[in-house]
This record gives sequence, C-alpha cells and structure tokens, in this order.
Amino acid sequence: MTLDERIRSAAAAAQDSVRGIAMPSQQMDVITSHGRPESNRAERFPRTRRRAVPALLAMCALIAALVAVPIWRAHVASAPVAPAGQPGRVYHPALLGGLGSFRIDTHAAIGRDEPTVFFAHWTDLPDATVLLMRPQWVVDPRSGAFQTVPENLAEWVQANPRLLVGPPTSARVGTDLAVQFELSGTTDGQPYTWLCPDVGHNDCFDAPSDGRGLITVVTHDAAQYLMLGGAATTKDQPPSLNRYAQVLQTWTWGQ
Amino acid sequence: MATDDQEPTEVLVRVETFDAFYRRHYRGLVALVLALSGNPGTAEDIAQDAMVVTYRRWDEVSAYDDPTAWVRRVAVNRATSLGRRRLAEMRAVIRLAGRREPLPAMPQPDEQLWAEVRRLPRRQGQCVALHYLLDCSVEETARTLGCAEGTVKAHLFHARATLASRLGVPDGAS
Repeated sequence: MTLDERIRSAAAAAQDSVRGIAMPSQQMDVITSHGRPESNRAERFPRTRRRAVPALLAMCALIAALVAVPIWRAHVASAPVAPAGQPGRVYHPALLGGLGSFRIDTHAAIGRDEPTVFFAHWTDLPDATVLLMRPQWVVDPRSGAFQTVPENLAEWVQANPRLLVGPPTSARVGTDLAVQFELSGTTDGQPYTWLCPDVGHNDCFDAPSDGRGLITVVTHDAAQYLMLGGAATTKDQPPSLNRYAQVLQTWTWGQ
Repeated sequence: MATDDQEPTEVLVRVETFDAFYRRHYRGLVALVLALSGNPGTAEDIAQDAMVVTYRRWDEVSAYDDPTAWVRRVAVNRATSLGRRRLAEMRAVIRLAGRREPLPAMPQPDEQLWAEVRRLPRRQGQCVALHYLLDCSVEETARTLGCAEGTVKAHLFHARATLASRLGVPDGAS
C-alpha cells in the first residue's frame, strides 16, 4: 500500500468517524439566541410571524417589568453593602468548580477587551448563563431564578459543596487593598486566590509582575469581587472563558 | 484539492446564513480537530468553540472571501495551542463529564497514520490535515494557514517524506 492509499484510507476513516455525530442544534440555539443577526432572524420567520413576534415580545416585556420592578426594589433595599476592603457575604461568583461538565454562555463578553490608560485590558461577563451538558447544553436549574451573572453564578457556586474557602488574609492589588481567600476543592487541582478589593465594577489593574494575572471583577450585592487564577499565563492569549478548567475567569494584563 | 466549482461555492458562502454555514462545516471541523489533536473528547468542544467565535463575528466573517478558511484557522489554532495547554485540565473535565457519546474509534492503521501526522512539526501536520482530510487545495490551505503556497508545498513534501519513512510505505507521489 502506498502512502497516498494510506492517507486516503485514513482521511475516509476520519470523515466516517464524525459522520454519525449528532449536530448539537440545541447548543446552537442557545448560542444563537443571544444577539442573532437580524438578517438570520428574518430568514427564519415567515412574514406574518415576524409581525406577531415583536408585539408578543413587547407584551412579555411589559408583564416582566411589572413583576420585576417591585422585586428588584425589595432586593436592592435588602442588599448588604460591603465596607471598603471587606467582603460582604461570602459569595464565589467568579469561580465555578465541581459538578460535571458545564459552560458559560454570554453574548457580550467573549473576546471583548478594552485598552485603558493603564495599558491593561479587562473583560467581564454580562448576561452569562450557566449551562450543563445533559447530554445537550441546558440551563442549569441549580442556578436558581436568575438567568444572568453575577447572581446565577453566585447561586450556582453556593450550591457546590466541593469548594472550600480558607481564612481571609490581607492583600494588595496594585495600590488597592483587598481581602484574600485561598480556594480549594477545585476540580482542576489548581490553586486559586479570591480577592475582594475595594474597587469599582469593571475597574482594571496592573498585571502582577510575573504576568500571570488572571483577574476577575464581579459585582454582587453591591460588593466587588476580584479573582486571580494561577493556571495560565495570559500575555499571548485574548480574553476568553477558561471553561476547560471549570473556572470562570476574566483577566487583565499589562502590555 | 481544487474543485472546478470553487468560485460559485464562494459566492454561496457569502450569502448563506450562519445556521447553514454551521451545518455545512461542523462535521468537517470536528474531523479536522480530531485528526490534529487525536482527542475525541475535545474535538467537538474545540470545533464548537471555533463555531461560537465565528458566530460572534458572523457579520464580519461572512463578508470575507472565504469564511471557511477563517473558521478552519480558528479551529486549527485552538487544536494546537489551547488544546495542548489545557490538556491536563480537560482530562479532569472529561472524566467528570463522561456523558457525551464518544466518537467512534478509527481503524488501527488509520489511527496510526494520524498519530504520525500529529508527530510531524505543527505546520506540516496542519497542511496534511487540511489538504488530504478536508480536500483543500494548496491555495486554500495556504489561505487558511496564512502562508505562501510554496510554503505549503514544501510542508507537504517534507511531511510525505517523513510519513513514508515512519510508516514504512513507498511515497507514491509523482
């Protein structure tokens, strides 16, 4: 058998091996349900339904607003406000570990980075959703009533019994004071440090001197949380979700 | 390999929706990543990631002359860099996930060839996978990898020589 015949045979076998795989249409529906281009949407719905859908959506939005506003007001009124440099309630909104395969879907965050005067970049995760592979990607019911970060991530992680949080110690991120927690129980076995700095949401920081700054800022209940991950360097990588490590991370880095 | 109807295909690509693009190229992308990574557990993940990235930028990517080359390049890059770096972490995930239907195993001689392809220098392996597995022409392969056609030809030449030697088969190239 010549090399060409071997290659042709191997190429055919590789094509055959994927021929039977299921098209993850449900996952694509989840992905494309966020920010689908108007042109695609127009081709999907017939003209009559296109007229009805906006009206239906408007009605749903009105009803949702009527229900949500009182709940939101009550929630804001009861939300604890963290003093400077101190965590509020112990949430872990930035770290997910443990139970099976999951992913985070968010329509606005992946790949977004914005240079700042500090020559750093940041990425956050608005409107993210916790998805589980069961066996298709579905919204994790354990994320509770909230469907977007940070609340649903906080709820999700709180329900995860594998995460352990060590005693807090003082820390400093750039010029900002922070409270530092050592996290363990992560499935990837990597050491993680959870910092609660006195910063504003979406603030950015100088990267640590070794360039290993995986920094997350998440606001929850009026407190800000920042996370440093020790798993990977970031200088040559665009901001993205580290879903393989089962850790949700966003980060900044110096140039 | 080049096809005679290449130009009409490109015209169709420009006007097709992302859904159609996805359904047309997803399986080929999985096959490509599977050949390059050798890891059935992550081939689908990486292919899906590449498709997600493509969808996020579909307005821009769909206007390219060759969106297919773009998504293939994303998948190839992820298969070689991200896949390797995250390998240890992914093993844990795969162990825990365990519910996904595994891709069927390839026959031993075919798997042996792809294993040898993965042992090749990175660019040579990518050229072989694109050219022989996805039937990309030299021009398409060059466009996908962002290099010159002559470079692709050189990579394919050296790759074939190495594969023939390692597999102990005659290189029947004319």
